[in-house]
Amino acid sequence: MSIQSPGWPPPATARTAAAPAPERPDGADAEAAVTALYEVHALGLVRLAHVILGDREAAEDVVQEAFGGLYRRWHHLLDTDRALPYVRSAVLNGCRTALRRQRARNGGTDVPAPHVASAEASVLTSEDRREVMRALRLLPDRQREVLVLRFYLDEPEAEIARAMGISPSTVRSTAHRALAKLGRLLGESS
Amino acid sequence: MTIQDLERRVRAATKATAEEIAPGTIAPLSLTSVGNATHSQPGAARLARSWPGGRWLDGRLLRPKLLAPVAAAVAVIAVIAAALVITGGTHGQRAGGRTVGPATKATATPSASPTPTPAPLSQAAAVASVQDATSINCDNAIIDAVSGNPVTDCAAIWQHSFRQAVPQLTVYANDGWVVVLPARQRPWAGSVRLPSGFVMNTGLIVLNEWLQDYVNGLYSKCYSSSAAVTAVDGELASLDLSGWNVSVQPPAANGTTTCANVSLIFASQRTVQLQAPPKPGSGHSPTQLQSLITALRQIASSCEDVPAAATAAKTAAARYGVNLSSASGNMFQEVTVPGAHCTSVYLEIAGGASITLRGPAGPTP
Repeated sequence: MSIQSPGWPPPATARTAAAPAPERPDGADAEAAVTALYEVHALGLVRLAHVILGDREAAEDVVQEAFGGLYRRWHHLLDTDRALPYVRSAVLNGCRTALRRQRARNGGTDVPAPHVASAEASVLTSEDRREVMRALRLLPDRQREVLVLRFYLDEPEAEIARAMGISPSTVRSTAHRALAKLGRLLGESS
Repeated sequence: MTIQDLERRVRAATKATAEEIAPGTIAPLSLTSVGNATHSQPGAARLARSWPGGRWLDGRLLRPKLLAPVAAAVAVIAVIAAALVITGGTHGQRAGGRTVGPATKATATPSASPTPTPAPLSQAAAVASVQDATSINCDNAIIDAVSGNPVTDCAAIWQHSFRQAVPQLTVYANDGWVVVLPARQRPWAGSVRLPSGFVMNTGLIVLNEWLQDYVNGLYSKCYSSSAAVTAVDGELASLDLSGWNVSVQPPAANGTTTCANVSLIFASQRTVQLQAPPKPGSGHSPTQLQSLITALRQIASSCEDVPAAATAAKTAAARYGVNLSSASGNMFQEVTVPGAHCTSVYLEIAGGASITLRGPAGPTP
């Protein structure tokens, strides 16, 4: 079992008090750096959150929040090259929080987010897409995330594991269990 | 519908859904409400003006954001409540002769916390819903179960990963998950606290391990599909998991596959599903660890107790360059199995290497 855990205390190797802090940019530089990162990656991350949440506004909020968190923590990042992986994990975590809020609003039931019909809703492929997305949103959060990262972003197992803070073997087993459940859900709906 | 069809549909649906959001329509970044004493507030208006999607300014930036000072940082460390492994069902049989004892490496003895107190009936249902899980959600870290005691397993991971004192831990069922949280942490919505004696289905845990094992398990050699089915059947029998089926997907691969690639446990259906690799020979082949696998196989065949096998396995790992320190990402686990005569050795490779020993605590007659 090898794990990476964003939810547990940070590894002791993360930073020690005695270690000299590397030189950090000032607040303006942090703002510029975070903004530049946002300009390049916001669209992709909002799309990612939108696929997971099925709600554009919530998706944008999650991404804004993630970048806000990055800005606050910019001076604490040991390696600013890891900013994008950090913010992607933050987006995934934010999506989970948003989903919990959705569930709380729905009285604890896991109601899939309504999907706004697009102009080509009558086209068979769009119907299939809606059906798949509806089934996807019925999956548990982690299963949905794994499938989205794998099939939407085409991320390799190791990268998915890093982003989600789980082991690669769990990524693999989760993906397959998710597909199995998705297949059952789509079978039931057809 | 084949797995490939399903994957294609998911890929197409997610990409099409993502493209509903057109480039240039995202609101500019607003850092105005970000609390940070060391930063000057950057001025969202300037940032907004510099953003091409300025038309979002009125509609979006004036809307209250989820951004909240300081407290929002906590949201980054979000917790989840999600079902993963098995939902519902109490079909798995207990492992008769191979009851797994507590992980010997866990020195912490976390105890239960006083909250919450669910009604007995809901607790019984909760136990049933997670009885056949083989993974544990240790807060946000998802691990394969090892000992059958989720608190013990999470405590071991905590120690291994963080080298910190393990806090009191409490185990819950939540939406099909076995969830272990620090006792001081508020349980997630929908959590039902499990009884202190809760033990997972150790037979399934060992099966899960065997299905990913390179020493003597399913990944130890290339099987034909039919031979893989026979091997899994044998393991099911040895674990006293009766009434289980083994299937191969896609069915056409039966008899033509050279290596079993992926295995899944569907506990609610009592089914182990083997999935063939896309093409012959594309299964797992950790050639760089072949020497270690061979050494571990010899250790397994020498029928030692756990302490002796552990010494030999650690020596072999060091000899073949597998660092077992906590910083390495590799794991070494020892599980004592009362009544066992020999130590079984398992090696899983997923990112890092994980060596697990299961056997008697001392020499057996």
